[in-house]
Amino acid sequence: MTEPALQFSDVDKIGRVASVDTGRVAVDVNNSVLLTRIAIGQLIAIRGVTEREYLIAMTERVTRSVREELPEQDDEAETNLILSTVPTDMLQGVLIGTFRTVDGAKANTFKRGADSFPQIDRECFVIEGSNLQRFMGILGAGFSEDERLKLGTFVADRSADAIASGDKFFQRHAAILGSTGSGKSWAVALILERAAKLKYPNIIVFDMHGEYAPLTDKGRGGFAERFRIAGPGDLENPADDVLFLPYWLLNRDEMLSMILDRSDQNAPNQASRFTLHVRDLKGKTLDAENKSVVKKTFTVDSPIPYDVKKLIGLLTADNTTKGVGKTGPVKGEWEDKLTRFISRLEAKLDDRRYGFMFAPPPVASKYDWLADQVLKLLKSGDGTGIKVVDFSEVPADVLPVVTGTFARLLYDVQFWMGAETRTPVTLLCDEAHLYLPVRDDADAVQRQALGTFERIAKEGRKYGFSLLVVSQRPSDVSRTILSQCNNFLALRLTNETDQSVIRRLMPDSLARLTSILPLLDTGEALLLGDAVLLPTRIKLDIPKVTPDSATRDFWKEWGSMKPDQNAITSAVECLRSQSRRR
Amino acid sequence: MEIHDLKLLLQGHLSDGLVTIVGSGLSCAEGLPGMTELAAHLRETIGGDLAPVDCECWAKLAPAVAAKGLEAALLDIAPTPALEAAIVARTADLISSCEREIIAQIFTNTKKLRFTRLLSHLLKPTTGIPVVTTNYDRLIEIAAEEAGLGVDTMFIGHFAGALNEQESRLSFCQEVTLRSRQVRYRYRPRVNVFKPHGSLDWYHREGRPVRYAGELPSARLIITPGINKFRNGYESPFDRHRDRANSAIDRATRFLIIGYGFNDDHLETHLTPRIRSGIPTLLLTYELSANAIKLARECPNVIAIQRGSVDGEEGSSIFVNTAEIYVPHLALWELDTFISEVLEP
Repeated sequence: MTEPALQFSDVDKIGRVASVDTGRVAVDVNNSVLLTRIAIGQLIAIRGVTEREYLIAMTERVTRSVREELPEQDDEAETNLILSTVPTDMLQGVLIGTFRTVDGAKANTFKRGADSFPQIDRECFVIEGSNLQRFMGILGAGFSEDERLKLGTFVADRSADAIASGDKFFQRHAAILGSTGSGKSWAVALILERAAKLKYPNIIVFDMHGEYAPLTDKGRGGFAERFRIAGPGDLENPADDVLFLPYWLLNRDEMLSMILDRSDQNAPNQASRFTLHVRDLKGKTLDAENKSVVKKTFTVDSPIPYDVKKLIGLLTADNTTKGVGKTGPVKGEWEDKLTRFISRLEAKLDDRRYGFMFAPPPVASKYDWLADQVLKLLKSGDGTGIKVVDFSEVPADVLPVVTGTFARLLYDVQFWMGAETRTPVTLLCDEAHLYLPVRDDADAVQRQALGTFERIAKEGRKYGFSLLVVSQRPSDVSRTILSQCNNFLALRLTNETDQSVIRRLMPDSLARLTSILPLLDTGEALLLGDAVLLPTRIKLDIPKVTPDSATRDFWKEWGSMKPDQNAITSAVECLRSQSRRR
Repeated sequence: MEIHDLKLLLQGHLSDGLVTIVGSGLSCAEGLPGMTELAAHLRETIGGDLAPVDCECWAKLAPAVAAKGLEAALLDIAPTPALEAAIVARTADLISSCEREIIAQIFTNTKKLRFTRLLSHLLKPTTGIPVVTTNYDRLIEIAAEEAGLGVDTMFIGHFAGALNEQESRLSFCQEVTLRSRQVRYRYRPRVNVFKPHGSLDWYHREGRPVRYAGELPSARLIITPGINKFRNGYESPFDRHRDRANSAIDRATRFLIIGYGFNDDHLETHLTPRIRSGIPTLLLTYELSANAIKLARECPNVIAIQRGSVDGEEGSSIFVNTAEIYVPHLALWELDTFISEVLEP
């Protein structure tokens, strides 16, 4: 015999169901005293089809109007009574789930969705006090010990822990959305911290501003590995934590999206020659490495090292070779058709910002180098499971290519791994609006990267590969990716367009809940999705190691800090050398 | 069938449109005499003060009662009116003396009726919970009041209360409200008890049925089993109670039948066709009668639970979807166990 989680007395009774409209319930309130204590988001229990079942609804509207009614019958001598005006209180709620005191052999169960519609005139009760505590208690109790992801406490009941299902949260992509300064990066740090407690977590963080660096500082309680994408200053003698993405990792489309100008009338010729030569060069490498098995089935997209100088040589030869006619040399088949293509390719090769791609160190052109690099990124255990990749020195226009290629590479490796040996991997895309734009606004390069992420969003779940999208501008993030997300941790969102994005992603009945988004305090979040039984307002815990995203006090510092002239001068030099070190 | 699925099925049963039918089995479980004790009691007490004609009739009846029980014996041999009155009186004596002891225990809180527990798990429709009982005792009414509900037996008043349906119903009205020219009555949650076989507190007075809760040396209005049942059954207040019981049965969308053996022609005319028409039915009883087993075997909408035992181990034998299954160590047929196991977490 367990104690029923919900035990109502007449004190908790707020009224009766007056009307039902699919997922919405209107309650005729006859306890006006209780009504004064009800906030939006308050939980209401409506008696279900048996005495042991309650439908749980969340209030989204409270109204009062005045009507005429029979007077109080305290004065029996009075015969010519007139009608008196009394307030009519109505309360509207959204049905969110079904609670059963007994459910077969189980006790106190809660499930999402209403199994039955509330009947007119059913009693409604407010869930508060000890009922609320017990109810919140069963919300987290539904998850087994090893899938509990504690995010904080419920705002409705600060004594109850807000537990989400870690499995469900990461399984089908999630998004953390909130205006700047609403506590996004702290939420990210908190989730990473919780994941780091596991034995073999596997999360790769795309850190756009280097704000997660403190998490990698083992001296200060950090728990993550740090990598950097090579900047122009790293090309000479790269450190261990520097990552390269050599050009030969790129598939044909990625490469062409950077070099080929589709509006050029010779574009088809250029693309076909490029494809042919790259394939040949990759084939030659395989011959040299004695990889005959791979050679049988490789394609132009296979990441096999080749020398880009040789590629230019071959293309130039095409571009200048004369054809042989009956009466001597004629204009060659490809002559002068590849000029623009070659010059664009050379421009990319000379651009030091693209050094991480087109000027990799010699070691990165070795056949075995790729496996080592991927191993660095996908290994886990002994505190190496969470990897923070710092993109802060990558120029903005290259960002989509880098992130896209990076994600594709990891996803492809995961894709080709055996199902039994796969460890699930999550990519945490910080500031996703920078490189996962809405498709209509994307240029050719961005579209290429977008394609990669959208593919992961659509198919990743089957291969244990998921995204955790973090953004302050949901309206600028690809719709496809957001609509594939099953869980949302929505922090304060003040912008109307951004709110409407979330509203559109919500099931219709819960859309009204998003109206509290602009009212959330810093560090408060609305957690929606299948990782929690109820869409709930949560006060997030504070992570032990806080990210480096502190807001500067403009006013105070203008009153106390003198700008350092030398610092400005040296910053100009850094700008010129495209490197933070001088 | 897994026990979890069975419990789900049973829990889902107690929902809207439920009509509860209570037979003598539930009263016996609470300690009232059953048919066997009643037959023995009649054999001991009837005789002395009767006219020769009645004695002759009783002499024929008594062995039959011993052989095949009171019900069957009275169906075969119609008693004379005087003998019938004697049977009614003796029956009432026996039941009311046993009932008094039980009521005393409830009054001092040393006993809690099973039905009181059950009522807290039933939905309370605004029109009242319909309960049809063939028992003469007043345990249902007491159980309902103990559960904090009102009891509507259609009688109003305490001394020689009159049968008045409307006043009785309105006596439970708590408030009347006006909503956009619509008048709404709000009633206290209550149990409507229908007793087509009469009740220990019904007496005849000046040609009218009245209710008096105490003991009186007058003729009580109860119907004994047998052929005279039909003849007697059409008089007030039986007719009103039976009409209301029948209309409740006709409107029911679910039946919960406790300790009832389907041997009563009165109810049968409405109840069995309704069950056969596919109304979901749950039967709880110590032992299913032949009629009940027939229903359980033929109608997939009937779940019947009776006591069963295998190798000396007690358990429940359950008919679900016309197939019989055995659940060991779980006396689900017994209302107390049923509530603890199925309805309480």
